[in-house]
Amino acid sequence: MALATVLTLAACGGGSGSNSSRDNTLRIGFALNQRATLNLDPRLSSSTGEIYVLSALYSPLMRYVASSHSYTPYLATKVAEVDNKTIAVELRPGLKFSDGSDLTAEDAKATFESMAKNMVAGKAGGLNPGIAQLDNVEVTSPTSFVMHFKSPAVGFIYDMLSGRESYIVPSQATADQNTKPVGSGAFKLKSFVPGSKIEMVKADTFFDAANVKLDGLTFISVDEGNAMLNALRAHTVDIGAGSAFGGLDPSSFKTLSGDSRFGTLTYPSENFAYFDSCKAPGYAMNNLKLRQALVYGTDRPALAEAIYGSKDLRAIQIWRPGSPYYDQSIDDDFAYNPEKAKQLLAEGGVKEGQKLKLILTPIDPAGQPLSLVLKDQWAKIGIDLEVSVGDIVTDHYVPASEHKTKYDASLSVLSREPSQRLSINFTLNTIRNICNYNDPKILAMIDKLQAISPNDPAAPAAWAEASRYLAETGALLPLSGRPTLAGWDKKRVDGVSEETLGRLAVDSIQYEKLSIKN
Amino acid sequence: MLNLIARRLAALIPTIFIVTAAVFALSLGIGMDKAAGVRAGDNPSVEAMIKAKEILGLDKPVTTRYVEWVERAVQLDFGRSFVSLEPVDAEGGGTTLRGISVREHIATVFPRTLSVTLIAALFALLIGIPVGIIGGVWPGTIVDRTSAIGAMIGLAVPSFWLAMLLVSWLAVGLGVLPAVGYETVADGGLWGWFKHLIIPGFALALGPSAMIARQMRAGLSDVMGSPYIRTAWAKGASLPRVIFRHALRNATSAPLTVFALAMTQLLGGVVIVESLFGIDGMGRLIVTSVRSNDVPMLQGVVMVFLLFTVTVNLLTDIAYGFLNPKVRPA
Repeated sequence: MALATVLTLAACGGGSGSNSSRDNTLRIGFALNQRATLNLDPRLSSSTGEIYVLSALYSPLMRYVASSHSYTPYLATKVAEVDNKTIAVELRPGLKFSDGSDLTAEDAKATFESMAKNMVAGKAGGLNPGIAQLDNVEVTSPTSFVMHFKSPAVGFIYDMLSGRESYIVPSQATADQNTKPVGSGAFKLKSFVPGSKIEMVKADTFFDAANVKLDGLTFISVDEGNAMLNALRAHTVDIGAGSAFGGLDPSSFKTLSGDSRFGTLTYPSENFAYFDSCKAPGYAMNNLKLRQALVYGTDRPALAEAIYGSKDLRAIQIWRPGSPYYDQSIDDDFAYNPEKAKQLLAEGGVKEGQKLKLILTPIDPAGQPLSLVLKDQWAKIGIDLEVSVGDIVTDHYVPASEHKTKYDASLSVLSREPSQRLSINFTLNTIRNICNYNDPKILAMIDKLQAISPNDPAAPAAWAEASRYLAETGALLPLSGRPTLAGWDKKRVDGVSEETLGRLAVDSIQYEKLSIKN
Repeated sequence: MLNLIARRLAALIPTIFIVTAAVFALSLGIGMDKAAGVRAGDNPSVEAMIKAKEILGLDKPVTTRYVEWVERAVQLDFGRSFVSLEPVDAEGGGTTLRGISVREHIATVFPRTLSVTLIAALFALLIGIPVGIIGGVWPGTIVDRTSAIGAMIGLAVPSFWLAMLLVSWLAVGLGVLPAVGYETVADGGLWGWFKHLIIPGFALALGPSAMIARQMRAGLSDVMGSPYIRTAWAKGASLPRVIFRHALRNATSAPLTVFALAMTQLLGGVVIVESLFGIDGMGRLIVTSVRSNDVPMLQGVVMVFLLFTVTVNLLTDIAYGFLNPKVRPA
């Protein structure tokens, strides 16, 4: 009776799916409450997922163009490599912050130097670690500046200039920037209820405001997965954002794809899941032959098919098919070969039934099914994979000596900037190098790659060399790519494409290119 | 009556003391060093760990920390989060990070949990009492048997499963209620606030409403056979007068006990329901605090749950006194 009464009231009230109360504001589902802190000051960015909110408030200096694998100036008009440690940037003239003040090279200097300082002090874990290599920024005019790095940086600078590291804040910004942000983006903050809702309105100060079709954005807290699916189907949100852009897992994406009222889009992201092993002495994975055997004993196309329903999402090397750095011969040379795997295990003295303890962290919803398929595949070559759930704080991002439980490997997801895919896992004394693996050859490759610009014709060969070495030594075992899974209300939202969504958790989302259908 | 309240309040003192000691001891077990590690940043040096322990006050003896913590806790000051940080302007210029205030954060999220809990309690009473009265007044009838089956279903159905069904039906299917989220009264108005709580509230309320209905039915059917009720009938009292004037007052002791228990159980239920509906309340906070070893936040949340529970129990005891003069001290 009580339920009937409130339902009648709800129906009379127009309900949640009514169009009557909507305006030209895009409602985005986003798990605002899954993070301890959501930083609105890019200088303090602590998680990669913050890009979904930050990219509405700030604009990058450059943008990545997926179709040509190139970078094009955005807030900047020109970016020039002086040498591999020096980059000159020219800003658009007349840029304004959302409070109406001028955006100048002095603001850029203060922002970059503050970010570098915060990264060194461990205050900004969401930023590209490369920013720590910044030595200083020299202002050459109100609209131009030169970035000087301590070591070669052209290998990663373009990722930084198209990512959150290039979100400029006023040079006089105080701690208030984190709650009352002043940015250069297409939108400005209207209200922020932590863990619940963020409302933004169009910023007339944005340099391309004339082409922004939305009046505003509202981020509504929705957990990823099934809750996001329900929120979309109930028209509580228009589009989802999150770790797989749409905040959808493979299962909920599949359900949404079958509903003609919704638009769905999937494409391989630059991210991939991998088997991250502890290769220190005393651990089973210290054995080179065992690592090599696992490379051949893993059927990656079958794994991708089982999890995502597409062999295209296989990950045998660290670049996805279609990338200019992808090398088909590596996929061919390290294809599934269980007989060779067994031979390598015998050569390495690995006994039948060798146990490997794998921990899962709750980062990747696909981790559990991935591990189950892996367990099945490796049982065929005589490896017994024990899977247990670990904790990201006490098991993963801590030195091996402090692991709460001793384990041989974890399933990890690389969702950082592509240029960081070697350095983030193998640089000594860094948190992602789980057992502080020291391979001088890989360290030399990191140095080499950081000195090669993505525009350099030598870049593909250098990356292919690194990919091949990782496969030969089994130092890092990619398992599957991760798709971008976007879902939106087709009758309401226009403009969703691979270009507007960009590279998952790396590029700015181009919200200004989305619109509401009337 | 005042004597009863004073006695109940006095009895709370040792309870609160024991629970605060237990909360503090439990928090020691989840790893203060790890909390310092989180604060000290990635790959902390020994010096950074020592500094972090100083900042967090972990370099002091346990007894000193406990006394200091109790001193602050009685003023509802639970310190600052070890993990959730906020930037503040540094003295020498620039920005530094400090933990957010636990009290302020709880003050932000607690109203959300309280809203869900109160709406669930309201639904539980609105469903449980009428169903119990019908069963108690007309035992053995088809209405009674139907409500008994309904109560059994209510007790058997898990709240999260019911929540998912209701979302599927009311939010996704009919589109009359929101599938996720929470709005404050200031933000969405009274209706905006209420409509976000209908599904989570109802999902949480079904179990407690079934318990209340069963207890109410049992209590009322006993009372309805009493001599004083027969006397009331003999005097020509109407049915509503017999029920509400004479029978109900003596039949509500058991349902009241169940309601008090249900209120505290509802707090446990919100952990799952808040996750399902994306409500950033106390339930989610306790999960994230445990997972991130945020000791002050965890202590604060547990203390607020404790205060809520003892307040409900105190009010229940006082209500007993009003309903039944026999429990009042002489």
